[in-house]
Amino acid sequence: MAAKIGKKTAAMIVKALASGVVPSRGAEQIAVGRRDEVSAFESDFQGVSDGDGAFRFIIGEYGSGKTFMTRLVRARAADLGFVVMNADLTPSNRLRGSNGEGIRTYRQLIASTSFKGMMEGGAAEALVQSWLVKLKSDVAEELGCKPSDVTVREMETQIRDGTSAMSHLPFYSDFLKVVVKYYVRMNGGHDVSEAMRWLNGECNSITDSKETVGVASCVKDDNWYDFLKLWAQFAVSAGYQGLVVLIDQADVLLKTAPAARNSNYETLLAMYNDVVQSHGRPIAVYVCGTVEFLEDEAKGLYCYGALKTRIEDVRFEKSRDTYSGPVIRLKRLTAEEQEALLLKILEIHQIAEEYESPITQDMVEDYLRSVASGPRPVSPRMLSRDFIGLLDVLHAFPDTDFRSLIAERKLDDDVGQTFS
Amino acid sequence: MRGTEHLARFVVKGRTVWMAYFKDGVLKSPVPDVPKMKGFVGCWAETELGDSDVTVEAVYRPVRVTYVQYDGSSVSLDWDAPAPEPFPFEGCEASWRRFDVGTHDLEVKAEYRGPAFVVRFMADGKQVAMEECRKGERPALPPVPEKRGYRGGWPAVVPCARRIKVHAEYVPLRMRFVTGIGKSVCIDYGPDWKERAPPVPARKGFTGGWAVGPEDGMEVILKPLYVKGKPSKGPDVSGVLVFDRDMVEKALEDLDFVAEVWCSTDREPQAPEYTINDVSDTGSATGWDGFASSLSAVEKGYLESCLEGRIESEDFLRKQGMLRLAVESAINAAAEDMIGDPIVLDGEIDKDYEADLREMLKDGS
Repeated sequence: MAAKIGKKTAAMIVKALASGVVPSRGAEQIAVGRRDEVSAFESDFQGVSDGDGAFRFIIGEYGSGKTFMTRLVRARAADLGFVVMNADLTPSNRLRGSNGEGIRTYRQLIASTSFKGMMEGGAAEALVQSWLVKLKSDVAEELGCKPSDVTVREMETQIRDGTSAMSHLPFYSDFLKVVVKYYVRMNGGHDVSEAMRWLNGECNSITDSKETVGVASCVKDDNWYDFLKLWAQFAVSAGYQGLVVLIDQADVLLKTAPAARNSNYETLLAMYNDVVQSHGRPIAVYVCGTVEFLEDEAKGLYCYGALKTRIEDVRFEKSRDTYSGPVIRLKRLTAEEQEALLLKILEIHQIAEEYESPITQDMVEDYLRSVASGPRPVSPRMLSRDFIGLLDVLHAFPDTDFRSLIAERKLDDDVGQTFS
Repeated sequence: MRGTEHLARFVVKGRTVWMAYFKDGVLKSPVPDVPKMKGFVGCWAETELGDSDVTVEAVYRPVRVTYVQYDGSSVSLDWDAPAPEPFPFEGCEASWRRFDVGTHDLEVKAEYRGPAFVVRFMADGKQVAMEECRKGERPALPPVPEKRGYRGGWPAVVPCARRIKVHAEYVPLRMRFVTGIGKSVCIDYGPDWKERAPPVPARKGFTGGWAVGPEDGMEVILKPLYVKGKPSKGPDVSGVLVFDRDMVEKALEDLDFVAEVWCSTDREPQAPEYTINDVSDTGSATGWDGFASSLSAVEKGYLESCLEGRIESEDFLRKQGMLRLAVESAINAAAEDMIGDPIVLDGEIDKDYEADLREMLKDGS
């Protein structure tokens, strides 16, 4: 039986689709044609919870729903108890660069930290806090006292014990020192922004770090992924299932200079190897890009031999749908899937507006024939948006003739998000 | 009395209900109806209208019921007399049809109820409806399931004598391809119709396909549809714009699967648990009540302090040795599960929920 859609969720979905954005809640209600992909992600999440990291490239043409998919994954991961981080690559935010491009991506990831209850981002500090609270309550329970009576020394010991599972990771001792520092200052009612500055990757140099928090390391272009691993393990210590990292707009790497591109692909390879080969890494990484980003032999991932051999479809997978490999290819919706999407939107619109629409399935098909007669395929985003506009008009003006409304209806071409 | 006219009194059980004059044996006004009495048939007693006033009495007799057997033989009895036995048939239940006694005589036939048979209605190998019938009855026909490209109907069903399956019959629609002015080519619909369809009349600079038009239950009309240039990679501008309803159905089923599996509303809270004092387990688990019972005492206390103001909430956190973000994230995770929205951010309670929250915390539920 289908999950029931509430009026509030329905209204939220309609509002978001009418604005051309992915709904922050209820996106799964319109995830047409993504059953296999959803199963693949579900299996990834299960694997990460069990200690097997996941690394996938989500590949699709513009308008195939990559951004939609990442939103869906983000919401689902948070719902399952993962900490989620996401970032869009841009010319100034890449995986690696000579002018702090990698650090900026790291900062973007940290700034976007979300988990259930705090889905608007900016939850990295809450993660640290929730972990400290948990730890403090454990200590209080153990000692049979109030949390406010737990001493700093007792907490320091507990913080060290509580993070012992990540002690093998690079920069662990510095990370630990900063967390302790955070706690001490917080407990004393002092400003904690310096500790958070270091954790957020905002210390620009080792000197800056020493002055700020007294440790001789900082997040750099070539080590930010090590810090991400710390966060992943830290999330587990704080009671979460692990960390899910979503990196969108990877096509930007196609437009960088060859040397810069190679160093970025090198970082991707290092991340890929680390996630796939290391057992017990509670992290899932998803990188989204177009087919060109993946397959372009001159500029895409396939130009980097070491990556190509790892992610290329094996011979018998070609032209078949497989979801066990590192690449998930998002297909464009078929005409029937588009119809199913519109029928679902029609249902949601009726729930949101509490009315009964006179639109039949035949009319939906007529509408699709009308909009599909343009020179280019229409993306689900434009289709949904336009259809909701149509429903709004028919709801507000019931006497309007449906056929005259859809006659020669033209939708603007939509090529998804672009970057310069 | 007027001249030679005389008076006729119509009397029912000693009460005069009507009076009329008569002269020379003819009443001056029509004879009234005999008042009705349930279970009796009434009439006026035959009375001679002579040279003097007369009294006409109402006469009643019980309603008679004529019981007609299956072979036409019958017997008439007063309605309150015991009914005769209907003629018995082996394996059947016999009874007289039910009747209501009024003011007229009745005729009643025997009813025979044979054993029930199940009639299954099948379409494309699947059962679409089921009807239970007695011997000799005709089953009510359900609507024929629609099948894209076909006109369907049920075959004539004879009165039921045994358990049967009735299979829907489908006749392919005729597809009329309009190939030019006044010209058309017809074929019967079939899964391979695309291969049998005539070529789309060529138009320079355009790519053509057949667009399915209206159908009248017998015939579907297809007209050429052209798009500029070569067909694009899109799924639905490459030619014939036909929607496979089975595929649409499957897409909707898949969507239901995704929505059900990934729907966040019915999941348990996944945020890390931390309990400093005892967690209240009281209260029912519906709406706000459920929300209240999912909070720890500390979380409830924090919400109460937030309702009082920011300074109060800071005091509360300090006394408890708690940190704001951590407490709020746990509360919001529970709130999202219960009511679908976070309710507190940086010590501020969402205005939409403030009143509810006050009431809930006041009740202590």
